[in-house]
Amino acid sequence: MKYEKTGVIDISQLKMPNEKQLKKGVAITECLQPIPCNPCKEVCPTDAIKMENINDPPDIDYDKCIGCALCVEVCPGLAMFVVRVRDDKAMISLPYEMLPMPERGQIVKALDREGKIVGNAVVKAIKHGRTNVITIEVDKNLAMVVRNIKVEK
Amino acid sequence: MRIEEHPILKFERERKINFYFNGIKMEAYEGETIASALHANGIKVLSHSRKGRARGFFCGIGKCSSCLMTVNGTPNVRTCITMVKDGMIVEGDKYDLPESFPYRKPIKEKIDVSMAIVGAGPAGLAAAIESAENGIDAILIDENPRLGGQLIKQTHKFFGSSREGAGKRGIEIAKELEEEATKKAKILLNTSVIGYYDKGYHFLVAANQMDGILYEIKAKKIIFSTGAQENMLVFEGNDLPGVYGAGGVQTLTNVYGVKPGNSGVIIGAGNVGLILSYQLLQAGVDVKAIVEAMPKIGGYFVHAAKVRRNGVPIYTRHTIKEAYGKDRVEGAKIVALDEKWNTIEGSEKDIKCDFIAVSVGLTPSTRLVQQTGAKIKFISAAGGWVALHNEYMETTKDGIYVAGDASNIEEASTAIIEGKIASLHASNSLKKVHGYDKKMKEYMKRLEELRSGIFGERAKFAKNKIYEEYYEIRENRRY
Amino acid sequence: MMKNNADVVIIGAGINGCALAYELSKRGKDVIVLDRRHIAAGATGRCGAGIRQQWSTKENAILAKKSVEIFENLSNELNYDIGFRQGGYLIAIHDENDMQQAKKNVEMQKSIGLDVRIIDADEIKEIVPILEPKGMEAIGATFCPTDGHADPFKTAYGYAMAAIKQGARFYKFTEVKKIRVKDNEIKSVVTDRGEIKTGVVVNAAGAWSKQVAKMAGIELPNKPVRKEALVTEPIKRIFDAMVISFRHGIYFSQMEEGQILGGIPSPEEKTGYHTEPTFSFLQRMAYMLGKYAPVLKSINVMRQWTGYYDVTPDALPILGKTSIEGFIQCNGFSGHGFMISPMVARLLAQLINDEKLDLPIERLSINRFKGKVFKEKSVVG
Repeated sequence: MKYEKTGVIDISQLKMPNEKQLKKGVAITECLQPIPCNPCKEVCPTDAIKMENINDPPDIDYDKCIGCALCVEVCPGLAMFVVRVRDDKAMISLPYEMLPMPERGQIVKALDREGKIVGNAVVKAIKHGRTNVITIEVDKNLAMVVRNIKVEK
Repeated sequence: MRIEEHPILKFERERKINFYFNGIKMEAYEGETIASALHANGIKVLSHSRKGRARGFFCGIGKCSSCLMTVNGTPNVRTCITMVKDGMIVEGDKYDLPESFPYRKPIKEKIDVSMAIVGAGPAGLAAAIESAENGIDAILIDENPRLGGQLIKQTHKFFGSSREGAGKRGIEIAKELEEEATKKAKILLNTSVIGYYDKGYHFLVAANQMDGILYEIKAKKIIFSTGAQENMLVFEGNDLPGVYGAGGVQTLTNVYGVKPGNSGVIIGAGNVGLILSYQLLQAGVDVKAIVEAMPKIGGYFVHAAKVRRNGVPIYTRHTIKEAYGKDRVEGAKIVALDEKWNTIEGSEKDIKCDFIAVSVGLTPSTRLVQQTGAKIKFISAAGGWVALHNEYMETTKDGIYVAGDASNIEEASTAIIEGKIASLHASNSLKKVHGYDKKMKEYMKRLEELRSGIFGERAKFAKNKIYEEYYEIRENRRY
Repeated sequence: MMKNNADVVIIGAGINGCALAYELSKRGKDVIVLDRRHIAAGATGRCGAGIRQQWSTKENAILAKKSVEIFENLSNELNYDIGFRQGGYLIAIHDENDMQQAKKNVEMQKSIGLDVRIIDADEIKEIVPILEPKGMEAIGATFCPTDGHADPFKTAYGYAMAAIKQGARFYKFTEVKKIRVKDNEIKSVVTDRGEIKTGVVVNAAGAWSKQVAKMAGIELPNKPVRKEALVTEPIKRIFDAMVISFRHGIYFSQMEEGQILGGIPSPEEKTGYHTEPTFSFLQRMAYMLGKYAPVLKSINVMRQWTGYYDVTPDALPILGKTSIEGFIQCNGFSGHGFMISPMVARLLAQLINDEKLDLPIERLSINRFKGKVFKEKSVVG
């Protein structure tokens, strides 16, 4: 697998939700390897995450998923994201364990999976938890591209 | 170099004090080690070799001898695990006559105990808690000033089953274990076990040099949960101050809140290298690159993805050729490798950085358990020489157990369970434990679960080899 | 493939086996050295490495002096630095009795040309500044500045490498199973890797010499005795001399890199094959070191270990021929095998090569135990 060399996933490896599911907002898992780990499955309020064996990577039922982002907060590997598409904008909830903390409404840099700046993002919500979950708004075409933010002091 | 703000950790610094380094007055905080106080003051060159080469610290956990200095007249003090004190005189290159050595007649204390546990990392802490639950008196001994071993610097969240507290950070797990063990077991910190003697019973000698106490410990069972030590890599300039073991960097950054430098290159893309890189980013350190000789990233993809999306490049099929700088690291030269592991000409990259962290694996610490006469064997998959043992963690010497990294390089979750298994088995052989079978079965099941999946294959292979060799020896036992 | 014949087979790759292989191969002999483990794996690699000429009998003193003469040029001869250094031996004199014996010894030692003298407490402190004569309970000492020490590993390796260059073969991890004797003559040595035809077998097996001799039907009076030693962390180089006391049994010196290395007999000392180090040795040695040199009280011990003395009833080695033709003894060194090895090897090589011997060795033959036994008094460790 290419990602084992680069540390960057290829979007074609992800199970894509359909338009309707994306509109509702669903969790996207970027956890592909068999790791004995299951907190996402346990935390899911709608049993949308399938995992027969603890080593199985999570398989998300996009019809059941309500995009609550509890799995984003709990995932030890920081590999869960929630994506919701409305009109020409995408809302992305992502785990954030860096400093500085942004403020609501702040404009931050949107980064892709290699840490490259691909545009601007507006911070829409901040949920403090064991891992903070930041929800940003970016252009719709960046919904499956942006996975991190850079906050300037 | 002090970290003032951190997304996960809060550094509650104690009283400000002063100490002297080669005659220069410096500031420090109570509760930190001499080496971390020196780093906070920008001092990386701790001493010089007899041939005049600069020496800095490497392992940061008291297992190598890179940080030795003369403290208050006493030579060869491990400054990475010795707390700085107000008015302390720390000297780097003092080779005087030892006339002024402060000699104190040690206080002798004799201890007679059912179980002695050496090493208070996750395995040792779990073993101590387990013994208390079984009504067995135990003593937990560690040479460090704090409990928790390497767990106290793991700021990342642990994988595993929700039921067993997965998703918790290593530091949180350490705190829970520490609190429980402190309530339940007798603990000796700052105390090095310096020898094992067979007197017809198990006998340990331990010393607390700081307080001048010599312990003579008679124990019915001993668990050696002595952890592991960092491997070194051969490259030009690898002795320059600023070339650290990954664990040493974690200690500085996450325990004492002192940055190892402003920009670093990490050697090794196993889980330790990846996690360390992420932790450094959190501490505000610029990670210039992760260099990995293998064609693939060795650690979990999710750990790699975390550092990649923060802009850190991972160079697979690359190795470090040279660390350069005058007296301390000023940069690293890395080079690409071909399929046959030869360096590719013209592929050299020069990366400016002020430190290099080496995370190329660990070697089990087996020196003490070896003194018991337990059979030691080189098992490459286990990380080096290990004491052969059975699935209950008992070695070929009756009543001597191992647990955790000292028995096979693995991780904290499995170390915890191994500590419990060793302790439960030892407890039960001292005094029948109520519900032993059920409890043991449960622990075994959890261990099996943690080792399931492809990432557990190496550990399973190593353990099976260790068990196999153990039974071979027990069956042909001649002593 | 192992060679299946040789002029001489030496059993044991300790210092004496290695040195003898060198001396014999220099004389054109075809030599094989066998060891169950490796070079210097036994007593050689565990010894205190001292080289002393101050002995109470003239024969021993001459043997030691001749050895030092070889040691002095050995690094050149072997083209390998063996770390030989002459810092002298300082032997404590505790009372008038000692003094009388010391005077006698010094007189005899001087008569053979040794530079040795009796010194007082002040001079003790000049030679080894950290010593405390009161703590030593010493009224003086004898001092011979040409005594010294060498690195036992390097010396054994140096000899072995030079021997190999001259055609000797070393088979390590090769265990001797049988020695074939026919008509009272050595025929061959059987190992776990095959049989070697030979007319001469040298028993240089240290603490296991008794078992080796038995394979050829010879009974040796040797006994293995566990001895312990320790080494401290390095400190600044302070002194060059080896300090010893026959009363306390202690010996210690400072190594090239600054560590203090030494030993003392322990009450738990056992005859037989016991390898475990004891805590009582550590306590005893630390206590006595502290008395001799109080500043050493504050330094750390790095390691302690054990090894065997291959002890004979009179504490003198067993050298030379036996009633079995071709079976040569080179053992029973009772703790002094390293210091006299260069001369012992030369003498035995001369014996095996039918040359005239530089010194007579009949007095050290196995036959001496048929009569009266005089014990060498100058024994430590």
